[in-house]
Amino acid sequence: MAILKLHRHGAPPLALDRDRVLVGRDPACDVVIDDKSVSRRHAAIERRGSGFVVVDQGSANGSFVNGEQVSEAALYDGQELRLGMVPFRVEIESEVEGTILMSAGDLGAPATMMMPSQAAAPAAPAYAPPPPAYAPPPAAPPAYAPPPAAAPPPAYAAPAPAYAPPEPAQAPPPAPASPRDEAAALLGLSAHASPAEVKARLAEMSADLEMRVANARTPNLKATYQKNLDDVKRAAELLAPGMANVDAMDLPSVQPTVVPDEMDISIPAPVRAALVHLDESAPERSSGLPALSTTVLSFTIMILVAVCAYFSLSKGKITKEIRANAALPEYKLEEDNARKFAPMDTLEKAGALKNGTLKLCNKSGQNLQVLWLGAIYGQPDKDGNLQIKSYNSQFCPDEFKLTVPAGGQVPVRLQGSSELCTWDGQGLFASLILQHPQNPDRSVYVARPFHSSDACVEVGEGL
Amino acid sequence: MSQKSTEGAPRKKSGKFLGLTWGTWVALALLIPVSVMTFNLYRGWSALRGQRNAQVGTHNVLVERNRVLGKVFDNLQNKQFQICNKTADTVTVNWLAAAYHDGRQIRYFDSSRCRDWRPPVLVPGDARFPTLNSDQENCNWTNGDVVYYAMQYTRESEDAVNTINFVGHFKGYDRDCHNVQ
Repeated sequence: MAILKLHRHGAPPLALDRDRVLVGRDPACDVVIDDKSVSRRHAAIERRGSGFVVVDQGSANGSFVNGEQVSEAALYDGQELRLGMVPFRVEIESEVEGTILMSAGDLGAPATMMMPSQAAAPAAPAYAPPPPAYAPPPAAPPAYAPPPAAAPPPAYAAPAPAYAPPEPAQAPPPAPASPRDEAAALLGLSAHASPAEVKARLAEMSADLEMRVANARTPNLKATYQKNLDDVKRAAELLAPGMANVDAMDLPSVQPTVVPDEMDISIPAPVRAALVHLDESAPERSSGLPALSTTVLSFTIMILVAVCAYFSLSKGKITKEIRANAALPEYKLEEDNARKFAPMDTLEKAGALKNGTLKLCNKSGQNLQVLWLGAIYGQPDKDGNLQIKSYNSQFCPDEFKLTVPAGGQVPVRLQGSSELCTWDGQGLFASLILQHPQNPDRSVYVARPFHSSDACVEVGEGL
Repeated sequence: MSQKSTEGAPRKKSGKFLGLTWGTWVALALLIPVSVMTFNLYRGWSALRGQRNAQVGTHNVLVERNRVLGKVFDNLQNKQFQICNKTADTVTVNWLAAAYHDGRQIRYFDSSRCRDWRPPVLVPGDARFPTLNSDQENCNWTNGDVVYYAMQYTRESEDAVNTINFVGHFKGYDRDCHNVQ
């Protein structure tokens, strides 16, 4: 009898050896799975014939076989069964070596195993298995169930449905009369088939069985396939002596054709799906992220947009600040004062506020006596602010005496007894009244600005 | 086995143009206007910031400048000169010299060198804006502005004639007039 085992990662396998096992979260279930994604009565796993079927019991999160939600589905070795969010790997293990009973039309489809012991065993208490499709004779080698005699073997490309429950009412085929007939039946040929037909059939079946041997997941299954392969070869040898020695490697179909779907059925379904769709014309595998250039450009754009936002906000703020400053009273006052003081600014820039040194240069051939000297000069006060002051020799009649010799240059420096009569010659503007050398009753008037300059103030010209 | 599940299936083949994905092209197309916008915003922002800094800087300069010039302004200006006779005597301005700013430079006027000068005579209570319109060099003193000035005037009373020499600077708002008194 086959045993279905459910393997769960990190947990011991669950061996289901009963005809119906109820799986769920409820402690009353046969198999209790303590997971919130599993309903109280989630699914039932039933033995039907030689196979197993999972039947969803109206669970909330569903039952899945190889990633597909099912309400009822057959279970095969290596499939993934997921109840809610709890995954299992299905393993169907035969405890007794069985015979694979397959029709020619079943080639390429998952094998349906019929266990001889199952046919001979008494009915199970809970479930009465259907009568076996074929009961081999005790002494005969394992038989291969032939297709109906009238119908030729169906096309190889037409696979059988994934699960075909056996038909209990189907009558077993008549037993072969001789070993040759049995061999022919095993190969699905008539007893009088030509060697060429036997050869072709042998190649076809050998290729299929070789592949199954290569891909068998369990040692028992592998041994069963290998036994079947040997039986097929023996049957071919019986029908066409020497045929079994054919070099199977010469046959094109002998090389196991590894179809990704069958390569390793433990691979998760999405991965297998991706492998199946992968071909030369497929685009480069993508990690799911956009291209690096796109990412960099997008990031740059985001930064630029952020910078734009900063500039926009900052502009508004600065504009407000400028307007607020312009409206401040102190700003207006300073601007008004600047307009008022503009002439002073002009004078200062023209140097009219910077003292020069007064030096009198006599351009006449005679000595010239200065009768009166008046001067304007700038003097910073203790705060550094420019104060405009004046010197007037009229206020110092007894102390002022100044004569400019003929052709001479006289730096003016007046040292009086009082501050009023003292002047160091540093000034901005000078005015003089000189006595005419020839006519003492006449005066000569001279006035010059001499700011920012050490140049001579020329006197006596034309005298 | 049915393969209708799309989980884990390869992504739909995305097109490329000139070796770049459409996503890259779209990003590039967006990058250009965004860059232009950023640059324009930067220019505007930079100009505004310069304007604000200039405003603050100008204000600070004005404050300091006005502080200095305000002191000068209190006792020195370049304005039209007026003589007011506040005495009971006749005042004759024999000589008048002035340094003034004509808007471009400091110039000077010396009446002793101007043949067209006629000494102003101010009767008591009279006021006069001395000017001279002349084509002689340094004698075309039409606006009568004064920064520094010197003059000699005579004050003729019934019993004496006093000659006074004066030098001074124009104090605008507290001396709208040079008072002879």
